[in-house]
Amino acid sequence: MRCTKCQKIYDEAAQGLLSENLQRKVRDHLAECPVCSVFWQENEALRFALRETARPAAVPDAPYFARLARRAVAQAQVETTEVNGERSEARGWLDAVGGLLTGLRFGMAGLVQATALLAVGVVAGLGIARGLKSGQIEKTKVADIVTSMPTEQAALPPLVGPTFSPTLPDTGSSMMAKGAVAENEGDLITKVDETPRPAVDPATLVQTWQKTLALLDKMGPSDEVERLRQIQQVSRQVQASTILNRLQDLKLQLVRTGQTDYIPDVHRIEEVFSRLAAASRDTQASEFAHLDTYQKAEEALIRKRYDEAMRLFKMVVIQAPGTYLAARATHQMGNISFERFRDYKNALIDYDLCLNEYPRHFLSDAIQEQIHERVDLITQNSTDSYGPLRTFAQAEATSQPAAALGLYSTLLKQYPQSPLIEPTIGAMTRIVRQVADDTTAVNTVLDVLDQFQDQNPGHPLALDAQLGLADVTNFCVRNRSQAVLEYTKILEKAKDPEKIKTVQERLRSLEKAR
Amino acid sequence: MALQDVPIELVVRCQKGDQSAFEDLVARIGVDLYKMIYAQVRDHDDTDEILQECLIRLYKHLPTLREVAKFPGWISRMIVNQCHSHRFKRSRTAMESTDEMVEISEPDVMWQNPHAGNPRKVLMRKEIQADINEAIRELPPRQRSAIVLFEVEGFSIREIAGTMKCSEGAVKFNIHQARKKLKLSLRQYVRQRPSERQKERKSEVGG
Repeated sequence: MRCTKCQKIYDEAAQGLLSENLQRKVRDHLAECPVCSVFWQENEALRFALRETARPAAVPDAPYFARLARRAVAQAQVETTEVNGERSEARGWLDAVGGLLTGLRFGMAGLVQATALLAVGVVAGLGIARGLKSGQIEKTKVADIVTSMPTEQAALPPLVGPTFSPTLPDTGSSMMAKGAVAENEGDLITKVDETPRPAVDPATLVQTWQKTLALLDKMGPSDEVERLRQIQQVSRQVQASTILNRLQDLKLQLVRTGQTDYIPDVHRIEEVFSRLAAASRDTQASEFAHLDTYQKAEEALIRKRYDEAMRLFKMVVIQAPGTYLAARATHQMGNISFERFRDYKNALIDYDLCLNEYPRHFLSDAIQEQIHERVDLITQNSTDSYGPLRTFAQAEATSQPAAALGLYSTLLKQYPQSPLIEPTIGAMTRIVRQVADDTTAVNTVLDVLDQFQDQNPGHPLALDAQLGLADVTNFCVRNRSQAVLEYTKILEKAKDPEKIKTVQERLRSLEKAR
Repeated sequence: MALQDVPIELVVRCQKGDQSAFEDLVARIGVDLYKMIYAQVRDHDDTDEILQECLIRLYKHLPTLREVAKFPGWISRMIVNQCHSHRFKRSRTAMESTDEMVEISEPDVMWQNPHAGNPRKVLMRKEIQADINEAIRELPPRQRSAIVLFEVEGFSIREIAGTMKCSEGAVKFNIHQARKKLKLSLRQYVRQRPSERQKERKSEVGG
């Protein structure tokens, strides 16, 4: 028996799962291999120590548990009453729609109508998505939506144009947007290359959804419903989560553009569509049973109450395991760990669950792409207990340009092989342009970039560092002749067409200035 | 009473909101829950808090449990998750108020045990216990749950995977990592003494 095998089967052996034959082989091996023998003895000693100390020396008595049980019942009843009170206040304008849907919930006719309504939602979502892509919102009149319904449901266009942030509102979220420096809390460091905004204001989208809902509200057993019945075949093929993913993306955009006042409206819309989805064939009502908790968690997240948000998201995962909402909650938990708590190990576990434990369609493509990027970053920056990621995140979060530059410099010096080097060089160059008058900061950046080039001659990003140096020389030091010299050198070496184009533009503007 | 031995009828009565049934249930499984939580957090105050929270959840959410037969797994999962979130909350609070941080020592429970032995042994045992508790608390939540459920509670890998909602491979990985860290931090208790090692090496060379 090999040592690796002997050590690998320790857990099985501890559970008593080994066959007699294998047990004998292990015994023989342990008798002759001191390494494995030590390994086994240490494990046994550890188990003994853990078991010996695991039990409390004293355990409370029966009255303690009786008291605890009574207190728990009282507390649970208080909490339930509070939640019910809040719910009854929150219903408002959706009562009419809700009542209609509850009425439709059971029976074949109800199912047909609800499915038809779901189709309207899906098509409206597609319409909005297409409108967003083209920069125009389409009309939401039901008849128009039906006639303009696309035939291929699979080819859904993405709702958002640019890379968007997760639900969390600020700094850390922009971490993955390559080439963009974070807008931080104090706005002292602003983006030079502004990330493009969505073509359509998310608030307009919310209003459009509300109009669609108003139309749904007015619809009864009319001709319109009959017409919609014709498209139920198509709607059955659309996963209920597709439409809800659209709403999720919409929420992300609202957060990103700082229009969080609209979130409660989207939550109401989401509730209606969840109920519609729950009545369709491909979904079960239990998928959305914990929407309330999920939405509360999102609201807590927006109010930056991260502990509470985490607790509520966890509740969703525990209470509705394997469901669509659990997938989204797990994703949000990963985001909180990643962005807020910088707990990359747990973020990795949550992201891993998102990608491997839930069906793919539960999370939109954009979110999945973002998760993949983050998983790569975490796994590639795991040295020094995720030192590079932590440093980068700290640099992004700080509102002091000097402090940010210091942290970026540390990152460049200590972790030259990190994939975060590219955004770091970009960030440094941009920040120093904002504080061009601060000669100390400018000199620091020049030194660090210069040093990086010297110490990492074959580095794939050495040219980026050189470009950074040239830019600082051009925009901050304003030594034009030196800048021209630097740019020319880069032009000789560069192979990337985009880089060549950038350098040529810089040279042209320098010539004009002359 | 072990969690597996809880009568189904009792759980069903609790699901219907029967308060006396709930008190009966807590009386039966309370000690087990207490021990299970303590094994993870190694602190009586924390255990108390977590147990309280678990019982509130148990009362509130038991009606949502569809398959009553899965009650033991369900409650174990709840405990593991509560321990995770409690630790999480603690770490956040600690991070936010490091200035006000006061070292809180483990409550002295040894004197309550009349069979604790002579004072020197008690002291030694206390030191070892404190070191082990500290090492366990230092582990990341998932690793801690995995190793405690496996080594202390005697759960199988499959049961732990079910409780922690992850793959069996992930459980094995977590146990392996936890073991590695614990061996390192508890090397003085777990590793063999140098003299023994030397003896072994000599015999190895001799052989």
